[in-house]
Amino acid sequence: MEQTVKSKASEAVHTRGLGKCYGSFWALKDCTISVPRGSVTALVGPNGAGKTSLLKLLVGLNSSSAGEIAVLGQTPSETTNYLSSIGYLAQEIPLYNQFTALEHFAIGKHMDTNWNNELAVKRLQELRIPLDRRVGKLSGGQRAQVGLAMALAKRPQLLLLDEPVAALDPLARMDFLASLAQAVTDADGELTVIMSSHLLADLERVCDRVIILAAGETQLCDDVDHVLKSHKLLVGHSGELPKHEGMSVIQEVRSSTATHAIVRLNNLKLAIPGWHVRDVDIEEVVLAYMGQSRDMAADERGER
Amino acid sequence: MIFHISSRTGVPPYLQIVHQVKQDIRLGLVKGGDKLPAVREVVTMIAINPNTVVKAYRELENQGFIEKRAGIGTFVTKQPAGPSPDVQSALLDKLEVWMEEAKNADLDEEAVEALFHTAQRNKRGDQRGTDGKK
Amino acid sequence: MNWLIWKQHRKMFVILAAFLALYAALAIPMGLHFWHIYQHALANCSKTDTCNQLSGSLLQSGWDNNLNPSLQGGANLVVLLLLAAPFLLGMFIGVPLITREYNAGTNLLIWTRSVSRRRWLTTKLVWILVMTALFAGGIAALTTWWSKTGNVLYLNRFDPVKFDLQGVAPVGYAIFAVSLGMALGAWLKRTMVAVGISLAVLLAVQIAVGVAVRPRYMAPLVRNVSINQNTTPGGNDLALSPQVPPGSGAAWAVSGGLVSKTGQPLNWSTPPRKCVATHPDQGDGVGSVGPHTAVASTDKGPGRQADAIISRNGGPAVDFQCLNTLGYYWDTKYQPVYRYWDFQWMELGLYLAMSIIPVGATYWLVLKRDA
Repeated sequence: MEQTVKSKASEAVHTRGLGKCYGSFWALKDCTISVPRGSVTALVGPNGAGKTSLLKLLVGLNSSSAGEIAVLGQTPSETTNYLSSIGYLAQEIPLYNQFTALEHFAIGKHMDTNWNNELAVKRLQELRIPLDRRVGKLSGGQRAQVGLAMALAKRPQLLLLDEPVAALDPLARMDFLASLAQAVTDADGELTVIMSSHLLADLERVCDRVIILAAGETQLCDDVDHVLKSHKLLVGHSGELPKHEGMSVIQEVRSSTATHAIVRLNNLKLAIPGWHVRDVDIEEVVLAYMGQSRDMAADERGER
Repeated sequence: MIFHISSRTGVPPYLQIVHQVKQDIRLGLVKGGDKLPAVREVVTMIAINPNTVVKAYRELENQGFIEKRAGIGTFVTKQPAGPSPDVQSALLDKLEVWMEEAKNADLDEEAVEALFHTAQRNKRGDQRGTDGKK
Repeated sequence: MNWLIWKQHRKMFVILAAFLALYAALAIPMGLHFWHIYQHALANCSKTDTCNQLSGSLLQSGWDNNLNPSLQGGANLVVLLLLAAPFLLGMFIGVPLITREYNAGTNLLIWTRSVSRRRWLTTKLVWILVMTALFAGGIAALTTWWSKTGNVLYLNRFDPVKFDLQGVAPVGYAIFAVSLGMALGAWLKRTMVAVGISLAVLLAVQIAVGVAVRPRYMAPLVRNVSINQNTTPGGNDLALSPQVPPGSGAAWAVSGGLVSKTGQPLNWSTPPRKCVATHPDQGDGVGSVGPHTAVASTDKGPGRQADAIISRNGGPAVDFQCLNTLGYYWDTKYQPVYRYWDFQWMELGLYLAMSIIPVGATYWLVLKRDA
């Protein structure tokens, strides 16, 4: 059941209460996100959080079971019109191993409406990836670049990547992210990217927005800069952290001598006397949310 | 001009760039009239979001450190704001004297840093008090 | 999209074409060879008026004991391969068509170009089925042509194995096999399991159709013949059928046997006691009594006595003269040879109609399920 949401023209993606079930299992339960055009968004969360399901819904490969979804102002569907505005790279970078990169590009030429072959070829040439070798014989990093080229040379408006760097060594990862960043630069605000990944440190540099998904629900959907400004680590003597209405506790850890808490400040100018305030990086924030979700799930099951 | 982004500092990447540019200007590594690398160059060098670079450059422009010349590029302004290299050099000398004192008092590097950060915090606290933020 | 089909499957198309060419290279010279021998023998026999012994003399000249022009041993293998061809097509072309994409994950690559899943599947289906039909049709045409001599000589193309290999029905088998393979592949997504199940299903269907359905395409004709010198064991003698010219009339015996005056079939294990003989015949035991045998005009020659004594199924020996006096006769249901092409087209139609189910299932499985 899908309804188009009235989304702002500046939004590439807008969902509300989006849900997807497989049989009786709800992979995605109550997903509400918004992604502005031209942004690069990181989609993070533990395995089984629903990231792949969400991406497939955005691509139009599957249809939702509940809630509303709007991508580029339309409902995702498997029509030529919609598909040609989306670029997708699935997990594990599926390619035809017996074909060369050039042959893959020929597939694009014949089956994509906006295919730009020079772009794809130039991209691989700059990276010195052999165009006439069977893709099955390329390294993981090279395959990822071919996969990225297949998605980018379509000249999509929205690029969806499902854990593209998961299996890559650090250098290949940097190359991939640099390629991606270059593509975003060249598109001059016309390309929106949503990328799911486990590797949080990389994401902070490339992404300007982060969505945290856990247990099928959205934990956070915000600009990275704002997240860093609004989330702090409070350190204080052992004891309960006082409740403030301008603040929500994400995760609290108590030892016999001290209490550490990661909080979200709704009022950035809030000062809490007696507590030492420290900045946190994005990885700590994500871990805190993921920990919170896992604890809540354990509570529900009565395991704590 | 090479930028370096550190992901574990809790400081947003764009601010890191702002600081690095300001630092290079202050240290005289970059002089007035020098051209800053274009957004795409930075993005190719270090894989970061172009919006980050754009934001950093905008912030620097607002603070008067750089200016954009349409069609040509982004340049350090002829008169960078902030204290002159001479003033900084004098402060550096004073600091080196203090360091020598600290070393003689058997303070190791960590102790020196802790002292320094405390002084900074105190100063910030004073400032907050005077600005009336509570 | 057409370009993609060629790119992905050109190796398969080339291999099929090569097989067809190879088979043609074997079948055409062979067929010509047999036909010339036959023509030559025909020319000779008309001089000596021994034409009704033609198949016997050709047998003596070295053709195999199935009275088929044969390749001396390699024939059985070739026949087996030809019979298996539709199954192999289904297993090794139909199944992997879909399972390969799922297993490699490339379905996610190819369905996110700008071509809809429906169009992708339709184009694939059409091309593959057309190629299958052309290949199977080519093989069947060559086999039909190659078997011309045997068909003319022995009039046995209605027989189970020969029916399956000639004419137009093989095209139906192949299309059904490939459609079934695709549907199973789309459903199970695992190649080996789908291959195994398709083989089992295809075999079962082929046997079931041949044994139980084909005889019923049209109501068989009935012919009752008394036991006489021309209808002793070996035969459901159909050469005397009034519809069929003597010497060329063989049809497909659907069922037949000895039947009593009241219509009861003879039980070979417990025959009428009166007719149990004490000296079993040394007999030729030629042919067996039952359905699916067709023997051409009796080539055992005149003078065969109706007082033969035969035992069957391990039962006691039975005296035929005695049965005759009791009123037993041959009751035969058969499909006359002039219905051959009707049956071929009906079998083709049946298989094509059956194919609609797996094709529909493939569409539903591929299009409606989540990627």
